[in-house]
Amino acid sequence: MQNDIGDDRIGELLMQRATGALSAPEADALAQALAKLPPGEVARWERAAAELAAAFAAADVSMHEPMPASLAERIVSGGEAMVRSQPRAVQPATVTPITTGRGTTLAWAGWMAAAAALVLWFAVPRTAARTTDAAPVSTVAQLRDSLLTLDSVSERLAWTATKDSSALRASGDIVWSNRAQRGVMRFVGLQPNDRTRWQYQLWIFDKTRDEKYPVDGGVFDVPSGAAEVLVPIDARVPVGNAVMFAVTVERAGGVVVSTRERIALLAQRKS
Amino acid sequence: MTRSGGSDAARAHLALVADVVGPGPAPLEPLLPRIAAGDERAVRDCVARYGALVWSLARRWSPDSSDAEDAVQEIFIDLWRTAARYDVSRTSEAGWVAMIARRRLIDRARRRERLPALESIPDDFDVASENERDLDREWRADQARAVLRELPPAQRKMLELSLLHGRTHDEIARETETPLGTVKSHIRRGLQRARDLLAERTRNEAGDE
Repeated sequence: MQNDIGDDRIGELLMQRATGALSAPEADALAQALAKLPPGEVARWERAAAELAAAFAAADVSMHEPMPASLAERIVSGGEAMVRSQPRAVQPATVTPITTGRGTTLAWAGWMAAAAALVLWFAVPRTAARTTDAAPVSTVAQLRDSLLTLDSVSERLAWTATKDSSALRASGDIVWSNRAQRGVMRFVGLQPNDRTRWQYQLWIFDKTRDEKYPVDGGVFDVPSGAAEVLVPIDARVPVGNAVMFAVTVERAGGVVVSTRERIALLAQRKS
Repeated sequence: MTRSGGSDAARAHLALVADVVGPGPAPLEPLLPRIAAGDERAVRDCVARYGALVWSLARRWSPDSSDAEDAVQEIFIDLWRTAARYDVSRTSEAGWVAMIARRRLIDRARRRERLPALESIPDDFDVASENERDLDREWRADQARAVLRELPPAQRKMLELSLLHGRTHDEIARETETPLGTVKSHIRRGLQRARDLLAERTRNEAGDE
């Protein structure tokens, strides 16, 4: 990776990012320049922009434009309900490790139809499960941020919850970079699981592969009391072009044969 | 972009909103830690304190009031969800609120333009060096206002159009009849100077303690 970008150019890229004007190629250039920057430099620029925006607002009397009363009341009601019903939703995210079979795939038939019609999946045996250690929250959050902000080819896809009981109040997103072959799943409101009885399992659907064989993204848990859960993805089989992600509810340890009845969440890239 | 100005009617309406959401808390009391701790009463206080700021930013950054309403609701949900990540000793609460708001507004603007989303919260947003710790957040906000006064008029103007009004660099160039390169240069130098001045003032203050 070349790192011959000049200080002027780096300053311009930092400014572009702090003002929301960074293009995809510029994001790539900034990513390449990161090694030259002191730690936290990107955030310092953003902090300065945010403090200045607040200061501008405080100095501008026209900023005293009121929020519509009905909107304010909706926000208050919704916020109070959120804090009341999900008191831990504002706690720091919990990071949960992922367990995965190295190099395994799950056979499947007609996933796209399955997603809608919920047909059966057909599986091949998985290899022995392997568990990675839990990473510090900050590390996973940092990975997610860096993928979002500095990797122009990364994508953030919102989860769509099914009617499965585990996902009734679930939301969140998945950030995935085909280039980095890394990603982070974020869940809010996904039902905690009893890992001795059942676990969640991620499947990655790769356009470059036979669509019958989605990549096994591994098994993971949602701890009780964790309002926001971050799950790092470390694909052990190269994923050429991820087009869809699915989280299923499976028995403890993952499944050999998956049924359609416990699909919790889907995230699909728009073509 | 939507423009709006202050008026007596607007201020009267502000009072109405204040009536709805109730009186704000004491000025120096941080609210987000209370929300993070599950104190739902702080939600009303937070809307009372920062509602006008968020609403006004959203109005300026959004194509219409309907879009602004959606944006404001998303911003406050983001605030509730990220409340625990705010550190009162490391940044002003208004700065944090503005950062959350700007990120959401930038993200929405980029989606409208079909550009890749940049929305995220830097993990080290409120991670400061040792000499940045334990300084009063209101002091930090005061410093930001002082920094504004020190910026050359051109830089301040360009920054205001970009950071406060959400103008793109191209829009600023057209609006001010300034070459695009000059606009970018002013914004970059202004932002860099603000960043340096804030850091310098923080260091000086820490050294005086």
